[in-house]
Amino acid sequence: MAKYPFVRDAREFVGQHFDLSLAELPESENREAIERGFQRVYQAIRRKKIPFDTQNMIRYDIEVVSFPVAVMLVALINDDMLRNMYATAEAKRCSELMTQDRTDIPRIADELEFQFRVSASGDEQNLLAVRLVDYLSFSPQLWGEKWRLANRVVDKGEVLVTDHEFARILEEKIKRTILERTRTDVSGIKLPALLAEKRTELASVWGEYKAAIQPEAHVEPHDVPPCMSRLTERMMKGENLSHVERRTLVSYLAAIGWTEEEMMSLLRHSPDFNERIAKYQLEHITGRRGKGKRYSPPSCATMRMYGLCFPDRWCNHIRHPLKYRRTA
Amino acid sequence: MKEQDIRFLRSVFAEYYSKYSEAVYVPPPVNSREVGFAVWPDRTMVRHMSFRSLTDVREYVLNSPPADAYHSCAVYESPEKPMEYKNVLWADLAFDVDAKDVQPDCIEEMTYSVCPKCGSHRKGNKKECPNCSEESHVVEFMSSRCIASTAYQTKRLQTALVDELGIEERDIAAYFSGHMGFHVYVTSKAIGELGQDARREITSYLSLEGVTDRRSLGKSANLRAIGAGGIGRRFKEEILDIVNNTSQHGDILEEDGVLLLRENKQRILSALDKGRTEDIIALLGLKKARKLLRRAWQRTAIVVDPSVTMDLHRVFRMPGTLNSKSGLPKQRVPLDKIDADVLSLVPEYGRAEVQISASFVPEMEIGDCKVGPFSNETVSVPRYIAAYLILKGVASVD
Repeated sequence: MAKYPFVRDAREFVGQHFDLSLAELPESENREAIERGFQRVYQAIRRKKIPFDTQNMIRYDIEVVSFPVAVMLVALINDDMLRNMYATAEAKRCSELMTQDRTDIPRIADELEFQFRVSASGDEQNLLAVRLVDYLSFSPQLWGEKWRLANRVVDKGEVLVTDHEFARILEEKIKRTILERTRTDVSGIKLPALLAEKRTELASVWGEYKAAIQPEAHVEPHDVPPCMSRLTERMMKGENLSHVERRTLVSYLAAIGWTEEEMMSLLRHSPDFNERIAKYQLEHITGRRGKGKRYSPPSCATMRMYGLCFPDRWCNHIRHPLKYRRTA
Repeated sequence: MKEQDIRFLRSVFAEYYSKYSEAVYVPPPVNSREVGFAVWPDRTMVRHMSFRSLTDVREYVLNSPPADAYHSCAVYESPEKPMEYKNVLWADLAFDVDAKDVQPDCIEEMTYSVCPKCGSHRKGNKKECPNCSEESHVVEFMSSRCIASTAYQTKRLQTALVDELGIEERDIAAYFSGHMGFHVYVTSKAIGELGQDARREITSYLSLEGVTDRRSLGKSANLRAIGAGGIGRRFKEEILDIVNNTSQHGDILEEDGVLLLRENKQRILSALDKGRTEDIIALLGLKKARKLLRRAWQRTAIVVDPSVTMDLHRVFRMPGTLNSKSGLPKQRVPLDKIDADVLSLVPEYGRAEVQISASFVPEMEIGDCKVGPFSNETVSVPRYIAAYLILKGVASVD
């Protein structure tokens, strides 16, 4: 329960302890829970991950209650970018725990009502069959070639995955479940003093973080091909782009003349942004680091290969995104 | 187009709808779909309409026969509003299998350049008439060979949807577009809620786009694609097909390859059963085996237009309505009859004869009607054939 506070048992447990509306949270007993709830979000913003250790397991009552507190705080700030950042960090934490203990996986799948069937079992790994529609909805196909449906064993409406991969799919499902919950409308709820205080504190932490993200550079939307504008839009919304997607976008933006600073501001929108790593990767792509080789953006054929091509009528006769022009 | 030609086309279209307005169809829920028409005389598009029921749609079409009619694959909250306010609830998963993607060479074969001034014609897409340097009018006539190979792809698509993607046969409907393609609709709640990315992934899967294993074709011993899953089964069938029809593949196999394949047929079949490509290589030699496997792999892809399937807002031609590229109706084809000659299914209308002056028409067949060849002459043909030739821009009513 403490490990996966979104599961049904945990919800019932919280229900016994206090009203889920959180309006009447008893402050004295739950001071710690509120603090931990705040920390969940704070760490998600600052470190892009939520620390979890045995201490949290022992104080599981606090741990379980701190989750709806965190969700509440995120809902109060009401910013999609923060929602994404928090849900991503929370889901990552669960995924790490699941891969440490594989026996958790089927239980969590059941809890999330995610259908699967064991197709072949082994000591090292199991092969599981998931429904095609679930695979397509929750698997990050764009996270690399091996996730693409064309590289999967697909038969009779089922897709085969290893249990490690299954944990990754569940991570996505958890992320969406949490995202959904942070979208609850909480305007008009009267907050207890301590929670109101934490909301103010979080608002200022978040305000600072957002201020560090410069207003993004303006590109003429006219001649940006749909594949690239789609990536930019997703980035702006705070979605978690895969490595391939980021590399593609950055190499394209560099080629059309964005400065490194402008690209960094855009990358700061990503829910697991890390200044140091991002800068390093950026410099690699632009050729300032490594062998000095500048990555050119992928051709249309490669974009199709990655599953990132979403052509419109102006794409008909071009072979490279840089050649895209809107004529009439 | 001349005024009297438009008047004539409108009368042929009106005749069709007076007989077959009951065939006009929009998949349910009709009142949540966007409907659009291209209207005579200049085929201006009118979109963002919505109708309460199928009866209303049929009545509308009967009263003002359109040049073309469309419905959205998407089911909207407010189908009549502008695009940004429609709000997609779900959408049919729709496929467009078009001859231009399936077999471009057979379209070329039926493409002619006709000079509007002197009426001289040449095969292929030529810009200028050599006699009077007038700009040519390029015509793509329908070809039953094109339609047949497109039908074959449609059949394969349907099989893959059922066997591989697990879609129920009753949720699939296939239509002949009335010109050179087929449309396949999948209507099911679970599939209908898939977004753009997921639909894109499905078309990639069907057309083998992004498959990394293919690099090892004919090199590595055990190809994953053989034996495992739907793509593997498709691949195996294509190999079998080549082995069974060696004479059609003389271009890659050459004489000795054809012989070798025939002699070793049984052994190749058993290697396939065991999923052992290395046995095929041992039997045929690396070079020939690679050629065989590569060709089989090419043929394993199912060709669909990805941009159509991916676009949730796309409108499709309305079943039972006439296609203004040909004057023939889009109509449902039973799944077990996709292979049949679809043009023979065209219902009867416009059979009365009419006189036209034709500039150039090659010899061709539409359903059971043989036409042409005509060259700058006045001839008498059934009204629906006259409509077809006028729509192609090679004839005019006298």
